[in-house]
Amino acid sequence: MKSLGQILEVTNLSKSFDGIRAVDDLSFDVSDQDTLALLGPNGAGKSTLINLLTGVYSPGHGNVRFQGKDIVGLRMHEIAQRGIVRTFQRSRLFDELSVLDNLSIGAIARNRISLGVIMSEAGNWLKRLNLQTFRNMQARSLPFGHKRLLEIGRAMMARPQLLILDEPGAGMSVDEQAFVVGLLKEIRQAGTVLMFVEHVSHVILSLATRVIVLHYGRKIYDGDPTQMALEPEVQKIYYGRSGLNVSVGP
Amino acid sequence: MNGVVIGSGYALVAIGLTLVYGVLRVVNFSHGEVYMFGAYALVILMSDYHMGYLLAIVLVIMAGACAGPLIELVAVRPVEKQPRLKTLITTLGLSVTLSNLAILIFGASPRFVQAEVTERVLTVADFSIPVHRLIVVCVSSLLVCAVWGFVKYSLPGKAMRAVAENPGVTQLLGINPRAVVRETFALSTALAAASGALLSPLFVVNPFIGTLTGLKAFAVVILGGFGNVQGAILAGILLGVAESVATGMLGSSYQDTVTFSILALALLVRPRGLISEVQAENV
Amino acid sequence: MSKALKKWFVILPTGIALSMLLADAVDPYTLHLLILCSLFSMVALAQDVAFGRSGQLLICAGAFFAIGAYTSAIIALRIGAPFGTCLLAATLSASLAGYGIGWAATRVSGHYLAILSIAFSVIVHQVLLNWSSLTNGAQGLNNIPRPASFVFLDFSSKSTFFVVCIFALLTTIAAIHLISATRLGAGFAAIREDELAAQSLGISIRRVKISAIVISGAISGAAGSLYAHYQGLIAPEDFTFSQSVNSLMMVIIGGANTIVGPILGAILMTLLPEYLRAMAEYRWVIFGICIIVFTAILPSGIWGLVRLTYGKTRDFALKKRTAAG
Repeated sequence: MKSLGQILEVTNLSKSFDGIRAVDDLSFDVSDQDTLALLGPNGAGKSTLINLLTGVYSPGHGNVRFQGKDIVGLRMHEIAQRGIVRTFQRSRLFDELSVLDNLSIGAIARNRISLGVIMSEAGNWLKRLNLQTFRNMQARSLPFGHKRLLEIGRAMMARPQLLILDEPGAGMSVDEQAFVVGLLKEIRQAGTVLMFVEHVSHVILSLATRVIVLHYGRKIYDGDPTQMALEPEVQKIYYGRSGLNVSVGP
Repeated sequence: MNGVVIGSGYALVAIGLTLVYGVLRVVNFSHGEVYMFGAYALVILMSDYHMGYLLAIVLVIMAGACAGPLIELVAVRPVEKQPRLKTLITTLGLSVTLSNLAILIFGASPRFVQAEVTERVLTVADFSIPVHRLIVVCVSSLLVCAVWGFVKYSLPGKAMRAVAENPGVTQLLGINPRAVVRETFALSTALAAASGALLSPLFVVNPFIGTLTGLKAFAVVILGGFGNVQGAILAGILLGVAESVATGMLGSSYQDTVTFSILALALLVRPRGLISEVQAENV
Repeated sequence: MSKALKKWFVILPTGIALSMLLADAVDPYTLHLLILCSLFSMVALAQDVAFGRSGQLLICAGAFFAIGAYTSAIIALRIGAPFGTCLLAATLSASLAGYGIGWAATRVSGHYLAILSIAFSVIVHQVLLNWSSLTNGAQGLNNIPRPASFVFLDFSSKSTFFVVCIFALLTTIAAIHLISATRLGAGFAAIREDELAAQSLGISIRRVKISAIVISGAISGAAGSLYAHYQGLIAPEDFTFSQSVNSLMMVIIGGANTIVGPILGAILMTLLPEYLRAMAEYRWVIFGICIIVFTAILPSGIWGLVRLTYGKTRDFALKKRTAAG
């Protein structure tokens, strides 16, 4: 894959709510070769960070550059049109619409492509996600795991350069998680940069080339996922104490 | 002075609306019809049954309290599992039903209160104060203070505020939310009926005064802030005064235009309603 | 030209031909009712674009209707412009009002927007009553001329006007149907279902909302113009807040987010009281109760219920294009 350099540059990003620093002076870059996992206990600021990157919130301080251009202050849909698309912690599907429609609506903001192309792409995703039998079913009637897959498919229909996933493995069976991991690997191979929040270890280890751990809005670890458990700060927040002899690996 | 009298009437109606919104996050569009029925009840009690003014008001308040839980049962509970906006629609339907029911029961022609209380005048020093207006201001102040104290200090009142802040948790604490909802509605409609009874001698009473007054009460609630009782009181009186002033300057036909223009402006200047709710959601 | 558009070239003339036959077959009073049905159907469809399709609870269809009616009448009476110009002006002014409300819808939503739309309805009604120099106040405007004769079309006859109304209605249906199969129509569905998700996919909810409400205003305004030139006489009492409530009722009872639903609702609410004279006095009491019942347990309305009974799934945003899919 040809490297184009840094796709995302986050500089001194901060966001407070009622005096509490949800994201505290965060800086990191994401290269287009990365698959970045965002970790941390609940309340560490992961969702806030996603919301800041996608334009749900405006930062108090700091800057975000996507593909070399500033995106702070842009509206949500403008950021999405620039190429950052996300999924949600609790799936936000278009419940009353069909599975097929959910997919096709994912692409309507794309310029200069015909409806026919949108429909055939949607059809391809149906096959890829094994959702063909559900194509005309209302999204709200789908089983849980299928809903999560549909949300990923819909996000991909928007052809993002950077796909941010909020707990893609949550609530899924082991088989479903394996499927998601395989799917995300293919998506990564095809060129979409991935960033995801996750708590399930094997999903993280299977996918991530890099891990950032947040704690009270600050970055306490940034690096190799396999080395993370050896880091004293990380041990403290996850295990309660440091100096542990943790064995890592398959 | 007239503005304060009418304004206190608006405030009473608005307090009920804002309380219900605070506890249930629901807009009761039929609230104005309770006001209208309160006015009619007074007219009938005094003109047909020759009851004294104050006694009639008390009876109307009691009847009004009964109306609340009924409204809740018919128009709010059936859609309690649906998005909150659906309740606006059902109570809108109820308001249509009620105002047309009033036409059937009372006839479409307006009625007046004919009682000497409206004519009596109190002379203090050089001022002659119409007794009725005095009663309105006194009774509504009394009611407002009572409500204020009730909501702030009494157990049911505190329960209401608890449910308003966090409905889920209150159930765990043994508070029965259904009872609280019932009580809130009862209180709210009692106040609306009281307002109708208090103000009816001032105006013509017809089946349509509910809709207009209800809408004005909305204006008051929005100006004062949804769920904010003090705001409702203040804004109610302010609106009454503003209307008086506008009537004085522009003539009575522009009164409503002024009211609703103020409302529209207030709505546009406010921060967005839904977006801030969405951001508070666990996105 | 797309297949969808082509079929309207068949439907439109057929519809017109049928309406001509119908016009001759019924008595004048029934024809009058049918004309009203067709116009109120347009307004109901307009309400549905904003509420049923796009999820914006607005209660001001009557206000757009009124703006269209009065604009058309005033231009006809003051300037003596031909009907076509009046209709255009009416549609434009109502669209402008729609733009204003649409803009408001991007600033406030939910309860606030609903109440704002109600305030708008009341203000429009008050303006019609009070701005006497323009609107002639409570007396209203009369002697609004029928459209001038055009070739063989003699508009002074009710039958011809009926055919025109049917033509307008069919055009409205065609427009809504075609739009719903475009990206904009998909946008309507998206913002109705989940605004946040829609934004996260790059959809500008501002643009979609405003478009929906402008279209809604335009259709109501056009219907208003036709109404004014048909009745010949309009007064503020025809355009109270109740009008807007009625339009909403038609959509809810008939079936939101469909084509047949709002039309069915309009027909029911216009014709039923006529044919069930006994209950005429109770009609609004019953309609009010219907609103509660339908909202609580029959959210898809009568037509929605019919469709579910026949196993049809709901109308979806983008029509299936390829068989392989």
